Amino acid sequence: MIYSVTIRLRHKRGTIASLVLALVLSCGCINHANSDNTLPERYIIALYGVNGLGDRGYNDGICRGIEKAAAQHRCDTWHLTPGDMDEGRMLLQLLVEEFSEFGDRNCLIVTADVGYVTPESLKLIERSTGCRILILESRESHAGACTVNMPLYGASWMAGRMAASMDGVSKAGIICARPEYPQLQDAVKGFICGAKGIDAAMAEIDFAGSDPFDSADLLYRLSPELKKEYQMIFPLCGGSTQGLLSYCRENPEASFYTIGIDSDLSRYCERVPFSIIKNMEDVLFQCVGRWLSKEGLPAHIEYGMSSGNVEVVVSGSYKTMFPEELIGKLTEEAIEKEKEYESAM
Amino acid sequence: MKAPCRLFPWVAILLAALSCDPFDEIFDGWEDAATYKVVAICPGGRDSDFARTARWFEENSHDAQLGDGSSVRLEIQWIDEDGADLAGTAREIARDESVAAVIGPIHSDNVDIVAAECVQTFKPMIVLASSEEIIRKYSVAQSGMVVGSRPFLWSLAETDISQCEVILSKAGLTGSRSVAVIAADNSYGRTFSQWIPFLSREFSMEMKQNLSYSDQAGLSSAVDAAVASSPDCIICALRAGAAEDLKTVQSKRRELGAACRFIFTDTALEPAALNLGALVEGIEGIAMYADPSTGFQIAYEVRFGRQPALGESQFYDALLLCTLARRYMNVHGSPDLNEAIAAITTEVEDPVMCNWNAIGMMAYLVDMDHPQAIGGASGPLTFDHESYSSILHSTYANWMVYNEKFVTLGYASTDGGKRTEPAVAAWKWKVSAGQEIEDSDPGLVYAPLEDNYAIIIAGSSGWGNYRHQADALNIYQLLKRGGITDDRILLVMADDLATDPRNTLPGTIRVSDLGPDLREGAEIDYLATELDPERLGELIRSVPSSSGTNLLFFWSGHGSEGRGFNWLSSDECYSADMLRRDLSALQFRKLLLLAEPCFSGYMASAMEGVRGVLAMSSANESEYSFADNRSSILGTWLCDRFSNNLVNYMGTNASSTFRDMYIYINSHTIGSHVMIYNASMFGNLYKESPKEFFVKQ
Repeated sequence: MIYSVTIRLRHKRGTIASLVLALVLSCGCINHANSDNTLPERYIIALYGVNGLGDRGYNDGICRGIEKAAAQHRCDTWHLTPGDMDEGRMLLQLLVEEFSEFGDRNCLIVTADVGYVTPESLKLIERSTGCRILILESRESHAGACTVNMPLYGASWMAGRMAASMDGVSKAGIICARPEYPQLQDAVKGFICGAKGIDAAMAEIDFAGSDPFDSADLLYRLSPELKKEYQMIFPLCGGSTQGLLSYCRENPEASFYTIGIDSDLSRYCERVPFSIIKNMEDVLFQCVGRWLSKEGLPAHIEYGMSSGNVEVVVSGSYKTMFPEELIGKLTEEAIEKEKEYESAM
Repeated sequence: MKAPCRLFPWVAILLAALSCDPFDEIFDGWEDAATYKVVAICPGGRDSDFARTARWFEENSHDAQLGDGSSVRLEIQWIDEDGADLAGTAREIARDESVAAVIGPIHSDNVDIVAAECVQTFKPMIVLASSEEIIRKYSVAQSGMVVGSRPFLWSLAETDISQCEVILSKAGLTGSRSVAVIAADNSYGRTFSQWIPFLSREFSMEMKQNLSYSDQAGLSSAVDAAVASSPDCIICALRAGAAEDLKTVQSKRRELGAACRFIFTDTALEPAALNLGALVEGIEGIAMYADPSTGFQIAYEVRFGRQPALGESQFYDALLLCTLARRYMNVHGSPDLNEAIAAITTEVEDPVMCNWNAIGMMAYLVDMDHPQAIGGASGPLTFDHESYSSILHSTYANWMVYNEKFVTLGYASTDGGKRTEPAVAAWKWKVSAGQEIEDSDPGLVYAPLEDNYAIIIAGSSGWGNYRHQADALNIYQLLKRGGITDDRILLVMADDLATDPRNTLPGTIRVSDLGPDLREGAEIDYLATELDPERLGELIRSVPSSSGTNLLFFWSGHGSEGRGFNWLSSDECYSADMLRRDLSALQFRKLLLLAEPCFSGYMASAMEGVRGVLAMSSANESEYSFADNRSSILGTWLCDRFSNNLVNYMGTNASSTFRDMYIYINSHTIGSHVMIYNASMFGNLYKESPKEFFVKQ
């Protein structure tokens, strides 16, 4: 596997280097005065999470936001989906290396997984004059890059509160795909803190070497066991959540509830009382707009609950259980909790 | 080069009024590019959704190639495939040297019409999808047309066999261990009724019922029968555009309180189904889709404000393939577009990036010296390097109706792509499930071998059944080469092929276009057309065999499930009871029964329990048996897979064991499971050799 990745990247290096040269040459020979015949001056290259594009959630939201912005501002886009973390790291490094002297920061590289960013690539980013890097889900600052943080603490706290208020829910299980990710740690802490009054704890899942964000079948098979233990599941595991939803859809009479994550998952299953939504489409649309504006991208942007880009949305048939007024109050409280948490970081 | 209609708009209007296939003028401002004409055949022609897809492609292609000095642009001639005389139009296109390639048509029946013309000149033809039979016809590998072995037909979607496979994968994943099929009695439904019996065995699932219907009453009865057989899962391949069929199934399902799972094929995924309201709530199914990991669908939705229609991503990829292949020809000096397509689509590695948009295309073009796998809009554009005709990767969406909407639950593909569940194989799936053959000696003692005798019967007639008589003659010639003389062979066939006016090689019969004439020197004992099954039985019972004779019995033709071998075009069958009666009346040392027709496992099993008999069939009792080697010269299939494999193997491995022969034939006979019956009453197949039936000792 490592061998094949290396071979593929060797080809890719040449391809990306040649591509940059071709872009430079083509930019130089086009008459930009004629709007019908101009080649776009700006390029957006998106590096999605491992096997991320097509997830009908987080990564697709990024893609949609980029495409909307590109259509409005007439940019060309390129979508790259690494097959594993190593490939993602090497791709990011290659892109930064090859685009380091490409025009006047005419290229925006968006990385959807902070795990691709290495000390080596950070050094290159710092020196780059040819491209701008947008690193999602990071609260750190890096010279030459713009980091975007979308904290989940507040929304998770609110989800915990709502879960604890539901009849029949006495124990909630948290499935965390990557416990080492700071953003997911925040979500776990927020949920446990909000779920006071019920037993909320990590559900131990052995992903057995498979991608924990892409193990829907495994969670489908484990669902009968989860059902015995928990009445509510808080799934911080991306596309794997679909396995839980499939099981609940097929066994509606005696299943656990599942909290939707990233997008409104109630369209897949009645047992989703509410969802934590990250509005990636709007966030990326805004970020690309700022990149193209005079002031450009800042070093860091926060898109927490207070920005409205992270929110908790109640599913249709649960609106009597969670009326608007209650949600409004809880949202205000969650924003405060998130501010407290973030300021303590 | 600008099209004249751009310079003189009124001329364009006049041309449009006079011609159903005006040149499109979407290519603009690209003066130095080399232009190649491509004919797009689709319903509605230039008024279809594909026209805007073409416009979008043109923009991206334009952006990707500007400034590199060797740009290639495509000029599209649109043709409405529902227009008059498609065959005549196709004939002209196939011979028009200014046409670089044909894209389309969409409907399988029309693909067959156009392909029949394009094959004559090997005009590159890229189709968005096609039926299994057409792919098999025009594949260049073993299971198809072998003349010249030149690919020309490129299907950008796998056949519905892949849909069968994905459905069974889905059913198996949720615990189903037995299935029933309800399929429309048309060319669409036939793929499901013919292939699910075979694939269910590959998935170790029990096949409970295989039912076809042609009207509402038949469908209602089929649901009754399927539910009564208590399968874990019922697969429904309904007629396209017939929401009434879905209504019937769902109403019946509720009435019966059916607890089993129902999975619908892509024909149920149509907006009209939602008009049935609560009746269809919760139904689920599988349908072909664009690979979600390419980003094409999202970009399309952003650009056009709606989802791409079925086939649009494949149409986009057809244009991409033409453009990249033309560029490859320029770089590598290749003279032939088919060769260029083959060169750039048989890379075994997965593509590492998408190449369908402008930057992706540019990334591909700048490294044209070392072409990599292409990441198209619909997924990886890779073909099987042996047979070419069908792409190796298709993506299917698992859909359901939930809260009165179609919801995509997940994706599956035959290669397990980035966002898809894996499955394997496609139209040329070779069996993985074989029978267990015991390495044990049943302790039977046989008299010394004194003589050989063979009964060879071709049970059909007519040009369309050419292959059956060809197969009978192929076996006959194999025996003759083995030293078995005409007086020891009873050969029964209609013998109406050699003189048929469609036979462009009069007097000859072959199993491949370049193969030897099998009719030469053949002594036909009885004309099948002068017999009926009873009279045939009398002839069989009168064969001069003895207790020292090894008897070989071969039957080619059609079969009916649970009835027997069909006799010519009549409703009569040579039944299992007749077979047992007639063969049991003979004396023999050993008997080898070889049955080629569909469902032939039923007939082969008729001899179970009879000492000294080994029976081998091309398919089990519920499977179809498939044709092989389509001749574009004769316009018919030349042989059946089972018989062709049998003769090929025995021709070079006469001394091998029955076990080795079975493994070879089973693994090379695509679409059915070769079966062996009565081995325990015959001998140890690890030691016994078929040679004693085919070669005079």
